[in-house]
Amino acid sequence: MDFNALAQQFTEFYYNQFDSDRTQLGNLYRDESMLTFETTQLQGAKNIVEKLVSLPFQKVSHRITTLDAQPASSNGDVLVMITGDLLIDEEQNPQRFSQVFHLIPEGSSYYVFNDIFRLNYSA
Amino acid sequence: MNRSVSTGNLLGMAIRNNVNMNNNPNNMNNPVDNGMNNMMTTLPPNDPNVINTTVKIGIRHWQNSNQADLLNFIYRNSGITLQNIILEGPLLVGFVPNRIQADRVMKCDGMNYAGNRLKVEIMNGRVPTTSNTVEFLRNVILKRYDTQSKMLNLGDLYQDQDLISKGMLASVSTRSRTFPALIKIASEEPGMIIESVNLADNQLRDITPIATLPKYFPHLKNLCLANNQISRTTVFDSWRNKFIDLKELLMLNNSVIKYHGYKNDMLKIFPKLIMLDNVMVRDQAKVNAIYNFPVKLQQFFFENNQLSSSAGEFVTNFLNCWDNDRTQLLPLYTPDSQFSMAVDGSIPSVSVTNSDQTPSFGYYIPYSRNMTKISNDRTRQIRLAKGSNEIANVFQNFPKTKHYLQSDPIDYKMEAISFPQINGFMVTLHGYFEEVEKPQSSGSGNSNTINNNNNNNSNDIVRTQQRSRRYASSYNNTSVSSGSTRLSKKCFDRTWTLVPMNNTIVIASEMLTVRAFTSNSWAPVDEQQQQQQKQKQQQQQMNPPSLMPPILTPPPSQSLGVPITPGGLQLPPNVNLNQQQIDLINKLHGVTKLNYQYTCMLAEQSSWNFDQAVKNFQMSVNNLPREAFIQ
Repeated sequence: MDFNALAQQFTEFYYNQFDSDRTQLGNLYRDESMLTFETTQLQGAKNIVEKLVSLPFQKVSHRITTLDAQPASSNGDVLVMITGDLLIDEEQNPQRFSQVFHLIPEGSSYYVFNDIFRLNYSA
Repeated sequence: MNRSVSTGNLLGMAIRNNVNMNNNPNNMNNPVDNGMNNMMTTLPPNDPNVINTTVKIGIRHWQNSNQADLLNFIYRNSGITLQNIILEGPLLVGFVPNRIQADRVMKCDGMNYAGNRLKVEIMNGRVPTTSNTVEFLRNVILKRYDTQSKMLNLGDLYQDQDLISKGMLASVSTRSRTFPALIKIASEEPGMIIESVNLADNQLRDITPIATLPKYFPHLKNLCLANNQISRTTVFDSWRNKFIDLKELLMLNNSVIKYHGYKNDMLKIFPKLIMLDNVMVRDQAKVNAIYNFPVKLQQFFFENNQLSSSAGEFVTNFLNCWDNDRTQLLPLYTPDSQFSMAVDGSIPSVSVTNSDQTPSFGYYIPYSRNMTKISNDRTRQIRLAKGSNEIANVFQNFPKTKHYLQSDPIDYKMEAISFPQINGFMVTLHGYFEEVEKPQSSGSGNSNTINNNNNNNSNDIVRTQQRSRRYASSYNNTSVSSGSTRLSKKCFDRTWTLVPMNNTIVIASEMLTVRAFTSNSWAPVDEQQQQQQKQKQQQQQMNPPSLMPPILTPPPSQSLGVPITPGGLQLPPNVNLNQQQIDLINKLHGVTKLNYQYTCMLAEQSSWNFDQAVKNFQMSVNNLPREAFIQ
């Protein structure tokens, strides 16, 4: 698959899933996956999902403002960089975030090898 | 922020008490009962029909005495206090609010006073000079300010005897000027901290007279507009998101509060409102959580110590070359290296202080690969620059910039993660740069890129309209017009994938996001101020260059001898060390990468001897806990 299309599909799927039910994100990660969420690093699908689920908000929605992607290796790895707004619990005031995914092909699918999430204080 | 939360409620109380609003919600429907009447009785009775006839009175032949004694004398004999005294040579001029009072003062004419016969006369009104007016209004404000509650009480202004006597409320036009003048003068009063403003009982139908309040007091915490005549929420439109810290608003006894959409509208207009008319409308904890994301934001994150120094060094060198001569960077790119850039054209919320509300992206749009906007496959392909030639071409079409990583590290955020598959690492930097000069080449070699962009023009517009955020007008205008290429500050996120190769580092991949400038990009304002203070103290204690390593020339990876902690070792603000000790600690930290606490311990245990400390460190390094090192 074209890395651009992959990046778009992945992004759409990831944030839809995150916003509707983030407990189900586990199958995007593997044991060797690493989430760097601000200053916390977690390895493995189970730990990563635990962390994401434990974030202290009920309702969240991501609003994507930029999406860019590059092929990262001849094996088909893809780097995806996203910036956007995070709206928490239906408040009007978004937080700005940036996120970098390193996606690795696995059979006919991909999984997240690195997930680096950062917030910028004001949007 | 926490501090303001607790005082906010106290100040809210102050407002209520001062207005004598009844705190008991059961009595809300009975506005003019005890509380309001009590206050009315403390003011002199007032007949609206004579308000407009402020009278100027002149007194002579009192010079054997002094001004205070004279005014006392007048008061004892007439019951009237002259206002706004001006001395004009031998003449003392004062004002009374109406003819009746003037006639009473006239009884003093011819009285014996301090060995003379007083000469009292009613004079024709003369407009006071501007500076006198400012001074007069300043005094009105000082009288109406309460230091303890930090409240400016502009309630019931039409009954203010000082203003009446000065004729400030005499006509509609002077009235309309009085409010803005008071607000402005109050904001200029040094040392007056105003957290609460009371504007109750002012017959306000809308906020026109007080429209400038958020301009001068954007951080106001409590506002009382009770007992006015506001009937629609739309009158507040110009205040939307302007009061960025307003916690409490009192609107009781305005007909607008009966409107069913009232509460929702007010929540939208005042983003941090907690208490509306004595009812809690937002959860303070939730507001705190939203404005302080429930995760502690930290400026730097490095997966390990090695990355901390390599990433810090790389970024410092890279930005230095980027700002000075981008061609110097080209050796870092291989024929397979990739670079792409995405423009985030959204405009920051107006509630963000110091944000660019009219960002211009004219120089970047022709290269933006933002796939939420660019759907054309060929455009996407062209805009992914490959190899140093293509990359150089893009670089020279961006404006010349200046980054402030060294002088202003507080506005930068960085993380570095290992990338084991390529034995490399990934660095992301967030921060801002200032555009200082137009691009070296003005796009002549890039007609291909620019023309191609037009294919996506309509697509851009459609997508833009679907979004709720506003977008810069230049965003839809893909041609590089002069209007959209204003040089300004911009924020950015930039990710490099770096691979060590032949004793140097090459950039395998680089992705840049450019967006409108906003200040305090990573930390809450309070925290930033603390940090800035800390940094200032550090700068006073050390030579500024020690905060960041000296600029090296590329290739950057070869001199790993100077370890870097971006932002410098964070010394506590109350550190009580002499310059020599601080120098030693910095030097030790450079060698050991121990955190502040452990560096100090090590220095102390080694009697502040550097060589001894290094020896001790080498002996005990394997027994030190992980947290002893800068994480």
